[in-house]
Amino acid sequence: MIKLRNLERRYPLAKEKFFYVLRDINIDIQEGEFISIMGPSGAGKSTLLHILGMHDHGWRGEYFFRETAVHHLKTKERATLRNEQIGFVFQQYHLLDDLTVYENLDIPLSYRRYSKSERAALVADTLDRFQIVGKKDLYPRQLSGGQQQLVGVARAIIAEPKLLLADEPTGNLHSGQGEEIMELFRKLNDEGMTIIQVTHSEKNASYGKRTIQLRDGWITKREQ
Amino acid sequence: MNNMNDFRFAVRQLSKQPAFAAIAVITLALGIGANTAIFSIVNAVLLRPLPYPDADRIMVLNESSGPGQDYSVALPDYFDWRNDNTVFEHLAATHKESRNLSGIPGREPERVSCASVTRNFFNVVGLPPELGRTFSEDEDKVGASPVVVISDRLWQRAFDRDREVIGRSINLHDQNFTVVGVMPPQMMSPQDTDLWLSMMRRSNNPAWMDRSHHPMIYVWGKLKPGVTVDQARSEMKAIAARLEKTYPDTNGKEYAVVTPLLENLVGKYRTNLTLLLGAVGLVLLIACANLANLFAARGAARAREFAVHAAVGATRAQIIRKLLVESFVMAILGGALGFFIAVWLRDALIALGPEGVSRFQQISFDLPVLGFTFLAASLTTIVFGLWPAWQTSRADVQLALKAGSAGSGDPPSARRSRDWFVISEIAFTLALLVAAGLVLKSFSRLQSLSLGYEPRALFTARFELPWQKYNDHDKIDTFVKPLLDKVRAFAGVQNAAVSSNGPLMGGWQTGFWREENGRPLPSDMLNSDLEVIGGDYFSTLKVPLLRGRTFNERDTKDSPRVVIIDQAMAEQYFPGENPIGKRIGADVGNDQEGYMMREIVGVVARMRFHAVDEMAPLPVIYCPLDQAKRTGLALFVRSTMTPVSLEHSVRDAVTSIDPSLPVFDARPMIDRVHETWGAQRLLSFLFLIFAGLALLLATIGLYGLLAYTTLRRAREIGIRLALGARPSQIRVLVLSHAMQLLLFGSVIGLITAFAVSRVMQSVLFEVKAIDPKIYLCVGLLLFAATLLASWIPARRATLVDPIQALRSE
Repeated sequence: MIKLRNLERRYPLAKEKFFYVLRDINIDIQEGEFISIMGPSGAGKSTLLHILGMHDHGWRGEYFFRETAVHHLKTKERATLRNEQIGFVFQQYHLLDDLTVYENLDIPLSYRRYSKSERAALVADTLDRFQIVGKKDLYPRQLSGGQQQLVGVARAIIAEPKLLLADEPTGNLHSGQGEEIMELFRKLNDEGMTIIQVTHSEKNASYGKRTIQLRDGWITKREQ
Repeated sequence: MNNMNDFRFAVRQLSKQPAFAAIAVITLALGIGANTAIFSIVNAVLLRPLPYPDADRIMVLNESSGPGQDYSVALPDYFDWRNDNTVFEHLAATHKESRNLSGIPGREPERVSCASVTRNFFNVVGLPPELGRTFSEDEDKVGASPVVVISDRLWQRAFDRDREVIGRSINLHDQNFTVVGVMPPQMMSPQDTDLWLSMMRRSNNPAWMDRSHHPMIYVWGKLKPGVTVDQARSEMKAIAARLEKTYPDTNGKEYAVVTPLLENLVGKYRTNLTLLLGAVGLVLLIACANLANLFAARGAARAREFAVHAAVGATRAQIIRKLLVESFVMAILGGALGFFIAVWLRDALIALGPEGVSRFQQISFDLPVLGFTFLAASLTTIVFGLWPAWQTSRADVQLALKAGSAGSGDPPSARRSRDWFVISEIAFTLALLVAAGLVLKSFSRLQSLSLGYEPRALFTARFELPWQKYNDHDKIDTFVKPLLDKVRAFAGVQNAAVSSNGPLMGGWQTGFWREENGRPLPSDMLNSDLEVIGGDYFSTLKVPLLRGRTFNERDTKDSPRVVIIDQAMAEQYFPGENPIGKRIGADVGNDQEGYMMREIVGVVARMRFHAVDEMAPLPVIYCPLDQAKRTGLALFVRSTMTPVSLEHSVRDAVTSIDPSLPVFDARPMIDRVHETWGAQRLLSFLFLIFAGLALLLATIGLYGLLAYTTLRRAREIGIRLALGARPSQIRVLVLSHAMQLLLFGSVIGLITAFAVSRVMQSVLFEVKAIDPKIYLCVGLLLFAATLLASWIPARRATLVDPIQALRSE
């Protein structure tokens, strides 16, 4: 599904001097995999995730996404590909405060080619699937952290992406809520969704099928 | 001490952000400056008391037979009013005229503005003479010796303030008068008078003693202490009703109109000035709304600073006071700058004002204006400073810093308030733009109004032939004919003519009837303007002859009486008929003739004789100078010569015929036309400026709000981008916010514009206050301004980097 070759990300420091966030990254990820990316702070985990999510365009190297050479795509084409294929879960949930749960779920659909009735049906299905129908008219501030992240995950998968990227999805949750979210990820992965998560937690990483260790921008270890 | 600390703190804060301070001060200066400028006009024209003791008790009275049908007072009616009323302490009669002043060694003859007044006129005004005395009882009687009271201005100009002027003889229209007094400088009533003559000396004039004649006499009265204007009106109404009963032939449907002097002088400008004050007030409110948003944004950025103040013990009231002092310092600086802007604009304002209204020329920046500026600055502080201070003081710093917040970053109430400020700006701006559009269209209609004659390349001058010397047709002819011959001989002159009351030079109305209808009662007569003409009048003014002929040399004082009528009279009173050869009865002002039948020999196109705001147009009767004696004449010259050289040549020509005759009011006709645009010009120019200023401020305000909101919503926009929003969808997000504000603002603005349309209608000329085209244009203009204001914030929003926005992870 994903093939990275000699990928690097750097920022200029001075004339012809650069600070490298990622160096010589070579990764192959198959469809249906559940990958955990680990490493200390500043290792380049989130940067790698944003490159995979096609938010970051300042990298060099080769990136193939399901046979599409992302490195040859224009920004607009990458955005279209991302919209069709990738969902995001954030550590801080990033629900929109001014919108209800229902409206938050509707947001990704509103940016894609869905009719109004299709959107309503998909939102209703998702509310049902995540058992949050009773909370559809509540605002994020009226939910617990776990509930907010549940909505965050629901929002990430509502447009039926092929790849789910999660950046520290349980970072702001207590252990019980964290486990619920990880179980949800396992279930989604079992249903065939490819998941890549960034985590500091060995326990959360253990939910994945493979772990990639990063340090100072280099891949230091690949574990099965 | 605390206040001083707050003041120092405020100054330090402002000096730390000079750009912010400069924007705020300039915005305030424009708003307060515009208000100060307009208030200075309102103060000079409407509020400043007249320079007479108990001026609010001075009334001007005239007669009327209905709205728009006002006229002067018949002298016998004045006598009855004076004898029968119980509400006036003094009731005086005045008659304005002009005479030629000569016989002062070392001075050329000059035309001076005179008023014949009854001796109690000076009691009405209430000012004692600064030198000498006013008329004695004996001097205000038929046959009394001719005496005169002069103005301080004339005393200065003609006599160099010589105190020996009392007892000196001066020559007015070839008659000697003895100066008995000099009035103080503030005395100029009625209408810039330089000389006061005794009126009752001439009260045996048969025309004056005719109750059906209204010979430009106006009555001035001073109410008794404690009597109200309404009481006076009520009593005068009762007296007029009695007179109507007693003299039904002459006083039918007539009543007395009682108007306070100030209202009489400037009342017609009250609506204009009130509208301008309202408009400029809206501009200040728009500026305040802008500043409130600006200060609120700044307050939000300083939340941490005030959290520290609170942490070390500052109460909420103390934080509000600190912020209000900052606002006040800003308002005072803005007010001071605004005051200087208004002072700087003084001459321009005077030039824009209607000419001939002396109170417009008296605009000054005295204590009341300074007080107004200070008050405006103080109120402005409250309007734009209190809400941001309140918001800042109640900010929950913990909440503001709370991680994960992905709304617009402010409490919903603060966002709503900010939106409402901009909505109100849009609403006010729309109302102002509509008003500006209406007055501009009205002014444009006025400028393109067909006058019926060609005012360009037409020179005018006036002169008064002393009636004692020019007391018959032949004597008048000995002046007019040579003058016209001389003027026609000037190089570049195509035509020349004279007339009694040319366009925009006052009027003379007469009653008339069709011969077939029989002579009606004076009160039932039809009214027309009367113009006595000599020379090639119609060709000089370029007025087309539609039927019949113009006057010629066969129309003499001894030939059958003839008149020419205008198209309006032909259409109104001879519909479907050829009026040529028909006869009308009319009095053309020859004392010995009175009403006579006169044959219509021609019909000319309609001319507009009066300014549009002066009176409703009447049909016009033209009479040849040889058949109607007139001594006050206007000269018309159609020429390619420059006005300056023509004026010089005309003066020489007049002097060569009668060296004692001054020429006055010499200027191009087009200048007279422009003068009549004064009030509309002032209104449209200032409305245009204010609406432009409002549009600029509202656009900046909308831009500021959207830029600020976009900044506060950066994380939300980042999330939306991360969730798949395309740049165009983010642009729509910002633009739709702007369009929502525009929609709400437009609805409120439309309601406001409709609400003021009734007031607007009274100042508009041939324009309906609800004009769909103007509303459409204003809508498009606001839409364009909204797009302009939202384009940069919308574009910036699309450039939000989702990685940066989500970096906090």
